Amino acid sequence: MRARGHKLWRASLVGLSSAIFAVAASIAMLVPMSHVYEHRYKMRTFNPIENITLAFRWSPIIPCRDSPHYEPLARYVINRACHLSNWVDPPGMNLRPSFSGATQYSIAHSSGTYARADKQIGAVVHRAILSNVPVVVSQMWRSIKWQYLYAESHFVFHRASFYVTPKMLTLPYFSTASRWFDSHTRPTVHDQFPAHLWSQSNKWIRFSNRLMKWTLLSWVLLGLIRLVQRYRRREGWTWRLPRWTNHTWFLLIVGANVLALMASIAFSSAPDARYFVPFIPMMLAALAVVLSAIIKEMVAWAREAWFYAWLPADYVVEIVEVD
Amino acid sequence: MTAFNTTSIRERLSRAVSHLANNVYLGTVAVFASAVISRLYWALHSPGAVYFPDSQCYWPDVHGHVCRSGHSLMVRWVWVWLTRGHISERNVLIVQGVSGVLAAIVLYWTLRRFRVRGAVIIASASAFIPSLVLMERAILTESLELFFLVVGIYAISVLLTTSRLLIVIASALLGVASISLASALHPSALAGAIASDV
Repeated sequence: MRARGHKLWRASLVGLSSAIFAVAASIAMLVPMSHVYEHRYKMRTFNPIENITLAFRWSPIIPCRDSPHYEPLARYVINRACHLSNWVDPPGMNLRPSFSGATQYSIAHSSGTYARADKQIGAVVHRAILSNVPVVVSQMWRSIKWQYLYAESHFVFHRASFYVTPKMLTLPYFSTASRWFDSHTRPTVHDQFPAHLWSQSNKWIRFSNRLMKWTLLSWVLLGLIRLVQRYRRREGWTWRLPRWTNHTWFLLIVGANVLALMASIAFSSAPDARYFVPFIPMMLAALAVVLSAIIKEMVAWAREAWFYAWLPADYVVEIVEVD
Repeated sequence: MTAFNTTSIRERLSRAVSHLANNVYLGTVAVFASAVISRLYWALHSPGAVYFPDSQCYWPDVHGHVCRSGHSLMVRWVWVWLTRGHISERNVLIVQGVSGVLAAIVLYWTLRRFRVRGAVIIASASAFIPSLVLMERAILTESLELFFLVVGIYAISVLLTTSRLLIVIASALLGVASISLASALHPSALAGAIASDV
């Protein structure tokens, strides 16, 4: 008992220190990037356009307010966002105008005043979110439901030449193009494109959704099997928290990661199948662990049934009574 | 005497099959072979790279350039590091392909940690999922993010199933480093995004 308590204490200590260290390490890894942005935009951030993206994502709750102190970029973003009054499908697609050429142009031509404009947009967005918490929660819930239930958008991929025009190659950002496309100096329409692989991938577009559903349903099934097993062993229909086995911890960690991803997408983005692709092996492992536990329970059940079936009736009564 | 011999042969055969199924080295080789075959098949039948609008946030020299959706500069840094400075479309695809093969092997080790039956089959089958192979051809963050997440999950599985303090500390460090790297590669799709957005 003492050894068990010692192990639990040690595990909690390692878990807690890992969690603290993980947060610190995540931030530390983003610091060099933040320095680059600080040098360029005179503001500390991990994502320079987060406020612009959020302004469009939550556009139906953004109030139409103007101020003579607003920078042109802030005025443009707030005016454009506040006139979008409908929540579109899929949830989160309201952020589409942040990708538009006009928005990108406005961002590119406001480098000197960008930090001030970002602050002004941020103030409006955060005030709107905080004063409309029920709407924000319900829209996030709509997005999470969409991510869980419906088909995601298809993989939109093309050749490099589809996105990189000859005019763009004259910009300083693309000065490394000749090194990037090492066999040829610039992308062309004749470049190889894996059309067959792409079409096969589109057939698997809902695989991550299915994995999520199967894992959840299997976990519920495992809980039910264990409940019935306990009833059969005359423990009655009692609700009990799951045993804190390694498997339970693992499933909780995977579940927390997937939920955090869904919440993150619901808050600041729109559902896209490719966000879930990196989580496929994780969900596959979780499903395998649950199915393995179900098989183990079923085998134990079958063995018990077989054991009792072959015993004489008076023995069964005696064993059950003792048990 | 005859009966004894028959039992012995059966037992030996059963032990041999069980040994083959449970042998970590053979399993690793089997998963490695499946992952390589899958990638070679697609390389021969459907070659080439795929680009997404966000790809322009990663491959050009975007030092300090605000991308259309504020993507991480970390991806390019990792590519530069993994290609030893020779960053090009071909080298990046090779790096991503190798990371896909390694991810399948690490998934197999994770499943073994939890004593999942058929771990070899599950990990080998995962190497054939077309969307995973497609992401290795994409000039995007997802394939590297997947690799670091799989390593992180493996580290967590070691952490949960060992009682040796040194291994506990080593796996905790590995898990933290790899999951942090994954979230730095793609902050908009991970929990860290919530903290940076609000």
